[in-house]
Amino acid sequence: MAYSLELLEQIYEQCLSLPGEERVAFIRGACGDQEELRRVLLLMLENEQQSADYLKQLQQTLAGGLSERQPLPELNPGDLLGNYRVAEFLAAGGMSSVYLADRADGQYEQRVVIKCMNAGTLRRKDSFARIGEQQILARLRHPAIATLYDAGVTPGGAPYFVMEFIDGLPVDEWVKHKNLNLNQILKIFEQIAGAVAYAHSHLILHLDLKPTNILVDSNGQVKLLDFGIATGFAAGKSGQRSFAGTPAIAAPEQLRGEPVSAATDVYQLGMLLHKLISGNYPLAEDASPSEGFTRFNPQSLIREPEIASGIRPEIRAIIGKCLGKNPEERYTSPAELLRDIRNYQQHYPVTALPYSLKYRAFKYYQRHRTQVISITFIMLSLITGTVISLWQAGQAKAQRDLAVKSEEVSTATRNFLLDLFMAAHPSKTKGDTMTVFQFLDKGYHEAEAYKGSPEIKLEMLTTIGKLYRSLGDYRKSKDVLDKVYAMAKDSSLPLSLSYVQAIQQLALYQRDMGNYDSASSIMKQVFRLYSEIGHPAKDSLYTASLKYHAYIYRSLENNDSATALIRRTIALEEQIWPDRNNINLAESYYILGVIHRNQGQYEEAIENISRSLELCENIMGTYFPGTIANLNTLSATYSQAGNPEAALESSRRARDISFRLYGENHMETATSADNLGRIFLKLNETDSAYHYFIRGLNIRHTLFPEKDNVHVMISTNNLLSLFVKTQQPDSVRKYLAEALKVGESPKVQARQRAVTWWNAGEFYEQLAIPDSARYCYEKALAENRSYLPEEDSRVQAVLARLNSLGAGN
Amino acid sequence: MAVTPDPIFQFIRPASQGDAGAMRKVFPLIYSELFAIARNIRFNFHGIDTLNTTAIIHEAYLKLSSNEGQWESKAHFYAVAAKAMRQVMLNAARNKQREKRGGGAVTSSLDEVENQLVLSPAASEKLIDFDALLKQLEEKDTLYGRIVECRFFSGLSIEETADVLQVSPATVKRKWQMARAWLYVHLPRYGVS
Repeated sequence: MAYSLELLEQIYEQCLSLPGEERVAFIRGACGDQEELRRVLLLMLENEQQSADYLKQLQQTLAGGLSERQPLPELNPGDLLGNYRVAEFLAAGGMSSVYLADRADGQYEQRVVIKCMNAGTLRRKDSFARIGEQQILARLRHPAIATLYDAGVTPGGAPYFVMEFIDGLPVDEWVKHKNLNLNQILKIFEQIAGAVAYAHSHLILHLDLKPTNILVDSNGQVKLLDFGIATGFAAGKSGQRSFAGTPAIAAPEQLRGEPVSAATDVYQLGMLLHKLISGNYPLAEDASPSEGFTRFNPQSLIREPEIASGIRPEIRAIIGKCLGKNPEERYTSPAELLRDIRNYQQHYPVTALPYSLKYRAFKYYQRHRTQVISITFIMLSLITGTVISLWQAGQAKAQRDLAVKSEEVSTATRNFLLDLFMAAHPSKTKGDTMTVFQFLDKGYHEAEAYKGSPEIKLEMLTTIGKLYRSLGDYRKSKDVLDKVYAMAKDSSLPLSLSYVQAIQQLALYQRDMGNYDSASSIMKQVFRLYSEIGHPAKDSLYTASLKYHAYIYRSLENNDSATALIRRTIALEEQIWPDRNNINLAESYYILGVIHRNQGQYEEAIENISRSLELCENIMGTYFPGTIANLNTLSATYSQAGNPEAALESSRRARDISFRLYGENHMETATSADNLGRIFLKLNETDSAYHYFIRGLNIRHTLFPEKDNVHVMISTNNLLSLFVKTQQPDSVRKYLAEALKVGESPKVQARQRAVTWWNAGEFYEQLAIPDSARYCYEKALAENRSYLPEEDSRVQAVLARLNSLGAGN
Repeated sequence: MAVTPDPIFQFIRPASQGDAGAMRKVFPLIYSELFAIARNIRFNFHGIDTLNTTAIIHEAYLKLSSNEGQWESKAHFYAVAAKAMRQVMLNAARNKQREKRGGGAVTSSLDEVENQLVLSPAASEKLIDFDALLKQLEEKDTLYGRIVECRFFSGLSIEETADVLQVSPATVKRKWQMARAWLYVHLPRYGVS
């Protein structure tokens, strides 16, 4: 260059210190006859702002380049992933690509979205480990959460997720498009926060609640996407101090790389609410991204929120409370946030504004304090999973005290679960992904070691036991519940609703283990306790208990008591939910159907089960445990009623949904396999039947490894009938011996023993040993008579065999 | 001050002040760390709208410092890391260009890693032009390079840059303003020689 940089620097600096209109003249004067210097300086001056912008932009482009996606694992239209065929490419994001796909096995039409993570997003090992977690995620069944159907790894090694297809708009666009007012926005927001609260009760955080992850369909139904995916992938490669999500809405702890918790989602909900109401995030305009990171103090990574002044003071306070810099300053859960939103809607004071309230408002708050606490409690209980609707129970003093007491218990339990949340975060586990089971184990140990109030400990253990049970780990569940029982027997413990619920868990465990007598007597105790604490009958907790007991009676073949209880349940539930559009009712209809089926009343059974199935699918969608149970039962009923085609159809659907929802090793999957096997056996497709029976057996062995394995009885009987039918004496002998041995257990039901003896009778008939056959049929008759009326077809069938044998003699 | 400084931080200050020996010791470490972080961040951010190199360097600092460190050591770290960041970016950009021309067999494992940074051809070109121009300024005065590294790659404020480079804030401001505008108008499209 033909000029001195030093000179250029000086002139430029002086020039910039002058008022705008004097600058050009200054440069012309200062450069004298240095042509090139003047030209460069004038250009620089002209482009002062552009140059600043350009550098800022280049800086972001470079960083963006680092985070841009890699070449994708090519998924092309027509590719098959599991049961789904890729239809078209939709979009690519920072770390994944999204495709539309259709179900490819022709069983039913279903349009889904496949989200395929970019290759290299995870190491292969990780992605396989994560599949198990996806099964947990698949349990999230909520009208406002997009269902995850399936997950896997492409042949190229990229993890993918199959999700519900939602035809909708991002929530912010929806709000704009519909020009919603504040109350309408709050209604939408309630749906969102409710879904997040629901996920939290299943120990899953979202952590990336941006509008593009929240769609609203044409019916105004909110659907949250990508649940848990952010969490699932947060570990990244180094496993520490990295976070998934969108920086603009990230909570301070996310930016600091600290453990996240339910309060992190609360922060993001606050950001979202602000955006929905004002159209923008509560961030200062000039807090441009690169400035945000310029200070050395990590605190300054976090921008101070600036809540738009146009927003109503109560809502401002609520958003402000969500956006607390420290998690402790915020609402502890989305449920608590929801409560405050409802306070606002119902013109109650919001808790976010407690001290600035006028005295009268404060008094009002005090006057209605109990009610507020009750609402809190209901919300809190959503988190602990113990739904106790004391609010509905009225305001009698005893119950009020109980509510306060229970709230303490629940708060303790809740905090305890939140700790678990945090412990499960990869940043606390040195990069190892903790499975849900691992952190339940951790929680179990912590609960055991808990030295505080026995009531709280009881509730902790009950919660843990319940979670184990609902995740299908019966052995762990028993472990925990044994401790609960030992504690519950200690009479020094004060009587409370949580105590009653703990006892009930024990009954359910006994039921799951096939100890129906013991389960029934524990349930009787539960009802005595309900009346002792004055719990009302017209309440969903009470009806739930009735239902459990009805089902236990059914398992005991006590159909009369079962019918009476379930009819009473339905009557109460129809009072609680007059529109009858409730999932609890679906369950009751199902149970009634099962009882009908048990009594050979197939038409009534099919009617009730179909009714339940319809309700389930309407309310909860296809991928819901109740849907599977209904389909399985429906299939078995059709089969008994002599309609194998209908049976096969229901059964296939059940198997399919079940596998998606639970994976291989789950009771429901085993039941589906059994059903399919029985149908194939009826259709004389013995190879297929064998395949499914063995699969059922294997699942049961895995789930219940103990010696006196009652659950294996069903599979053993299935295989036995198969080998009798296909005339394979060696195999028959093997399974017959097995079935007779297990059949000695008092836990095995009469009808199962009857099936064994019936098969044995057929076997000896085949071998032309009538005496043995007669002996077996008589055994079968005795077992059948022990629980069935004389006119029942099963009793009559055995009698017919005995008669024909007699005639043959 | 009672804590023993991390080994790496013994070299950071001299490195940031131009000690070539110290620089050689810490550079590879920071360089590879920036890589790991850049890649990791790529995998972890969904929306990349606000990601910048400063964030990456900040991550690197959090990662490499086992104690909270002092303001000062952080500043020096940022200065050294900015140099490394410049190198990381430039190598990635050059790899991209080589790839575009269809040549350049990649041999070392580090190159392989660099290849995984996906800079767009346009961004690569911009960066290579930018760097070449910056080198012209550096030939006259190395301070330009160091100021641009601190301000541009590391996002340090004027005062922070001044502290790290031990010059007055006024000098930093003057040179930065000038360098920024000068570099911009010398980009190829303006045709200023």
